[in-house]
Amino acid sequence: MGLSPIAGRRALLVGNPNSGKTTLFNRLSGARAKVGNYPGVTVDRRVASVMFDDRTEIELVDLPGTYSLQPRSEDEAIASSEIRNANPGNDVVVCVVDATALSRALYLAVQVRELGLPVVIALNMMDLVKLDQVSLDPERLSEALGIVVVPISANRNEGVDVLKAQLQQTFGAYTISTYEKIQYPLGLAEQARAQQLTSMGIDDAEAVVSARFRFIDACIERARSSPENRRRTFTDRIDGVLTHPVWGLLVFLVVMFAMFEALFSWSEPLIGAVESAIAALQGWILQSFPAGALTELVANGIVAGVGNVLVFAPQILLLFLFIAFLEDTGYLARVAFVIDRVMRAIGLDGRAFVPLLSSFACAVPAIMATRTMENRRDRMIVMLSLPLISCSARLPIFVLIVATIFSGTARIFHVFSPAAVALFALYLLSIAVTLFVAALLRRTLFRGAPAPFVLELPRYRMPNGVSLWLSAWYRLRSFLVDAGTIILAMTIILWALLNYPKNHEVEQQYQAAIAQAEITDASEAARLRDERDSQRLQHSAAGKIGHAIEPVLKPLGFDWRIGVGILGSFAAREVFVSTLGIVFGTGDADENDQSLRTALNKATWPDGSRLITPLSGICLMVFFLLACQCMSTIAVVKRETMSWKWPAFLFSYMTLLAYVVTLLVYQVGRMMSWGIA
Amino acid sequence: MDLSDFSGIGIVFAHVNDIHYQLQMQGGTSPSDSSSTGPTTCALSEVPVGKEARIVGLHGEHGLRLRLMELGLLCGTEVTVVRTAPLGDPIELLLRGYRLSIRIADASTVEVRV
Repeated sequence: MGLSPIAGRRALLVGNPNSGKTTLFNRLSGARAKVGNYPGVTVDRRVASVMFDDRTEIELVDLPGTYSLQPRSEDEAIASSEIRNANPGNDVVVCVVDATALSRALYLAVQVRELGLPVVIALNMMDLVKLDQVSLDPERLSEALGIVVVPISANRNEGVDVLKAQLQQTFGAYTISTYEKIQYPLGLAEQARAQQLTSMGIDDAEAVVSARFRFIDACIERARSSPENRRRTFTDRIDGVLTHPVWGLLVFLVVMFAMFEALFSWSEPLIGAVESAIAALQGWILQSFPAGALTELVANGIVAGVGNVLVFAPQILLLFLFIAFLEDTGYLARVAFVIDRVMRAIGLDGRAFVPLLSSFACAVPAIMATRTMENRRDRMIVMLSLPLISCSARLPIFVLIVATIFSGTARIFHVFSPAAVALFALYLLSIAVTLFVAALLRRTLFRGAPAPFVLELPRYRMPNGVSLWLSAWYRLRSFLVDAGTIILAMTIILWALLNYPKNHEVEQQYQAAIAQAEITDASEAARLRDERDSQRLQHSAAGKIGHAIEPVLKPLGFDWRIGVGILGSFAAREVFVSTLGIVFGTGDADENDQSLRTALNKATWPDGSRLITPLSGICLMVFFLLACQCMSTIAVVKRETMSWKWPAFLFSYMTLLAYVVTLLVYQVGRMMSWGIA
Repeated sequence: MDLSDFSGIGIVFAHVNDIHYQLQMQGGTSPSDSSSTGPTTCALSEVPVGKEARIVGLHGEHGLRLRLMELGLLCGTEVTVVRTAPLGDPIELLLRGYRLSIRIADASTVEVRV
């Protein structure tokens, strides 16, 4: 009885983590998924439409992996509530069961069935079962369980067509008349049983768990004619090396170094390419269209904003390709297994390692990577403390300041360059503060008994290239769309603050002078242009704010010009350098620009004392180490927590921390007369 | 296959109910009962690597106990300690055909007979 496409018919795909659920989803949907979000949390909701041979169409929903309908994590809670709220008139649950871990996997399927929902079991990884020489009869399993079982191998695309045909049949047969039949008053039965047991002093939840497993074990016994595989498998042999006390640690270090290298170095040419493409586009727009506010808005506001978003694409893609590769091969779980001991010492578990390591390159992909952590509290703690880790965007600032304040300083003990010592100390400080804040968050905002650390170590498998790209692409797309809009809007606001209002006197004065100089002396024209840009900035809203906040910054050793730089650096920390370049009239500089260093060294307070002393330079670095001068971090925390509360908290505490620590360093330093000459 | 397949659910629950009644007649499954039956029990964390053991009791707090049970660590389940992590903790277990890693502190709440 073929039905015309009916809206609201859904196949809900559930399964344990590592059950191959996502691969099956990609196979069934032809990799054309829409990725949305569950309200209030940041777990991806993938939906695709699947068309059957008779042209009827259903919606396929990929739920987060879970072991049970009694949720232990955010992801599991979603899967659980979506199943519990499923509509028995429209929905069919497809339970992906890992045939190599049969009893554990069937536990979820049985729980789903108890809710009275129609279930189809996709018995996955049948290829591995055959490889293990275990004889398992899907039909007898189906009879014993009373649930339809379709043997498949999603990785090898075997049996997926049969599954699809089975789904078509299930939905097709699923009419109003038969709908009555499958309603099962289990909710009541379970309640009654629970009451009965509680009255006898038996923990109902545990008794129910045991009962389910006894039932499952009995069913498996009927379907399996050979015992569970206990032979030394391929996975055992690999793990003999990869979790070996010596080789295991070595491989771990090499793999993590490769990941870090990918984020730090391999991404660099790609980032450079994005930056030059954006710069070329800006140049073309400024040249081809009549000069004016609109052209500037498009080039320096909108296009620059798009550039600020796209610049993260290489790192996000690389990190998530790497994570997907580690996850799909099975090594990501071993990373957590190997390093858990160390992470436990700082109150976290092994899963926190990859996000924390990534944050040395950039907090944005690192915050996105916290999704691999299953405990919500741990995830929040890591997300809110890792922006304190010194990322690669802080380096240009450190390089500029260190080169400015330590030029010509003698080596310490004739061996160490003061610049290297300062950089090393900054990294140490950043790690110490991160750990301190993480510990503090655990004792204050995210208190509570730690969730037990249980980690499945899946079998090693060859990853599927398409799946890797898809999972990285879905992550990137969600960043571009959600965080991207916020970053774009903030770029435009910042651009307006730094450029408006315009001062007519300044414009007129320089317009004539530059036009004059361009004919006679090109270098003089360039100097005048830099001077004009500096004047423009001084008269802009940002310049005025810089002046206004100088009394607040002065106790830190900063004047209004540095204040303007701090404002500008909110776009991205490294922008501090180029903003300073404009304020000090040396043009759009980078951190290796000698004229900017000279200008900084010569800069003075109105009373003639030097602005950038070794002490104030160190204060500047400490400030940038601790302050949340990065709108993209704010945007991505908003994206991941789905609220403005946490990004606001992050920005406030980091700014306050940066201010207080810098104030202490500067005031104590002055009292001790350190480095003020 | 038509929808009569789904009527199989009746059998499922008949089964589950049976098992429950069995449990009740045996006087419950309190882990401490079985732990007192043999002198050779120890904590799962003390089982040497490569040895197989049978779970006889779960003594952790409720949340941990339930989580371990849902992952298949029940009284009567056979568990092999496969290895310890390079830094000494956690440990890797083989049970019900799959590998699970738990911390030594949690493993010490699981009573086993080797």
